[in-house]
Amino acid sequence: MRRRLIGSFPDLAFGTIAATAVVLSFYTRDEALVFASAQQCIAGEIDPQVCGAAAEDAKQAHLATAPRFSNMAACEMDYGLYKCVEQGGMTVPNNLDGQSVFIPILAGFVLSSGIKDLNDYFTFRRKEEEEEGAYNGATTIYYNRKVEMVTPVVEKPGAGRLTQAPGPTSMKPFNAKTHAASRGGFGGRFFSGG
Amino acid sequence: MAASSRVGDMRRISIPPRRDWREKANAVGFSFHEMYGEPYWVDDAAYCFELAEVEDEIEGPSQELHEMCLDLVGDIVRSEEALDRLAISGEIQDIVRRSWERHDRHLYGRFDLAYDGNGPAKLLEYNADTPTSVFETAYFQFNWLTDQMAAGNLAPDTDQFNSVQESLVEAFGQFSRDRIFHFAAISDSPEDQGTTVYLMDCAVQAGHRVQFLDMREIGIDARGQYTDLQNRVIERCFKLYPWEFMFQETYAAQLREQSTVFVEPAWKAVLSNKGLLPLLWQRYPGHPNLLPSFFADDPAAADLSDYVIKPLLSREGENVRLFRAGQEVVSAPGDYGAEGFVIQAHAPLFKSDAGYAVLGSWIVGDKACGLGVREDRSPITANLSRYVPHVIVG
Repeated sequence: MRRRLIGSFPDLAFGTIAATAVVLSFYTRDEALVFASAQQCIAGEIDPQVCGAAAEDAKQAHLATAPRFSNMAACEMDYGLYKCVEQGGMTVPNNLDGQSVFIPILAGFVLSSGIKDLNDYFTFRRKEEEEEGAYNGATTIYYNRKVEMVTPVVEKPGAGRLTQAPGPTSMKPFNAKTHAASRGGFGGRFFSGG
Repeated sequence: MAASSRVGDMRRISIPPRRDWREKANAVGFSFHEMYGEPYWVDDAAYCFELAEVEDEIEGPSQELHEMCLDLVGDIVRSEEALDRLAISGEIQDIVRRSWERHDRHLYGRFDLAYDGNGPAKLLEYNADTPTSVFETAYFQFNWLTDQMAAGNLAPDTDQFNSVQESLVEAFGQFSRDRIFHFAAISDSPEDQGTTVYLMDCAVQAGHRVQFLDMREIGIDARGQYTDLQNRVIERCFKLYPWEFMFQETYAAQLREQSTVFVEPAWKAVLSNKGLLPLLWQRYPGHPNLLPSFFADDPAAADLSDYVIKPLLSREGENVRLFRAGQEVVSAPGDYGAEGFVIQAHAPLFKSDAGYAVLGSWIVGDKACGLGVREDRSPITANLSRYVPHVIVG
């Protein structure tokens, strides 16, 4: 068959590239897209099937990527009193010695606003599987002792997913908050692209 | 020089415009289908190519040129002398070098090629830092094609060199989704804002959480981290704004620690610089897709009689001067040139009654994946150029 150079039909997630898309978006609403449960997700007017699938994926991701501690005290030191659970050694992947591990309680998961229905969700999942060799699960969120949101680092050097057991330090701030000391240090020259 | 031989069948055709194309453009926010009071999008014409022609003269050479460029970047960033020649000096050299050594991920670029079907395509420049016309190419041109086929104006098997959008979504998918992906542009320009929002859309389709902001809204916190308007740390930021400007602005001081957040990465400053052209010619002299190119102070440039003088740093054809038989025949105004110039042999562009056409060949990730054609009354393609869709027939 003759080779065709045209790709698949392009869609727009926002439906427009006008400035209104900027207003419609997004990430002022970001906190609202961290869901503690499937129920909360459904209450947020997200497709119930998407919420169910994402919550289930988050559970799996939680077991795979939550930071692991060898005892309760160490976990509670980072995540707060009564904020950790013991997890049987066989219930978490990549746990070579089979000993119990202590992990913080999952606070919630994040959903991309680009996902409208289950079909979108699985398309997105399949893409991630193709690109990364495996689906890394939903972005899972934990509250540390200072009640800041943190999320596991899921770096992918080359392709492939994280295959090592996640250590206590493999966490990063989620939407880290700060304060601008100044603004306006870029964009001093008018510019229109080339 | 050997007589040129016909290698392809590039031609410009007329076609009935879609009656409702302006409504369609406005409906998707493509307000810049007119710019500066002049039409920009052309709905009633197309450039035609043959499949083998696109494969052999555009796709293949673009892929090869991109690989040649990547091969050269490593040598350039390790050479103080080479970076000096590109007017990348002092502390900025470290920023550029480290960005390359860290393998900071890049997204896209556009080769501008001179091609008229008589002999191989010739590289005019690589818009590797702030390329625009991506929405027109990836989305609106695609829709034009399917509409024209549905209307019976084009045969059902008409093709187009265009998997740009799916390549963008795929390329965005290569960036980790563990942080907000910010998108910054100068929002006074509808074209730049539209381009940036379009790319943001592709990122959303790849599962990213996104936030738009104006370049001027970027702040810094007490630790020297870039911040957005909601006082969140900017951990990754697409910017439609030239590196050479950023290097000279107030927040350049923070780039030493923070340059890694930006897409395109700092090493793209090497490829978007016209000094790339003589360096490529030195490395690959006589390559069929390269034009003889020299730094302005190179005596070898004196052998050229038909040539173009280009500033090292210039956008939209600004300050470009064209010489035939040693005489200046046309020049474009502008504010560039302070950093120096290169001299490039002149290559004829495709010419028709509508003017001169330049091919924009897109690289997304590391793949040649699409084509967009712009035409201009002047042989120097500038910001009043028009965008014309293309088709592959036969």
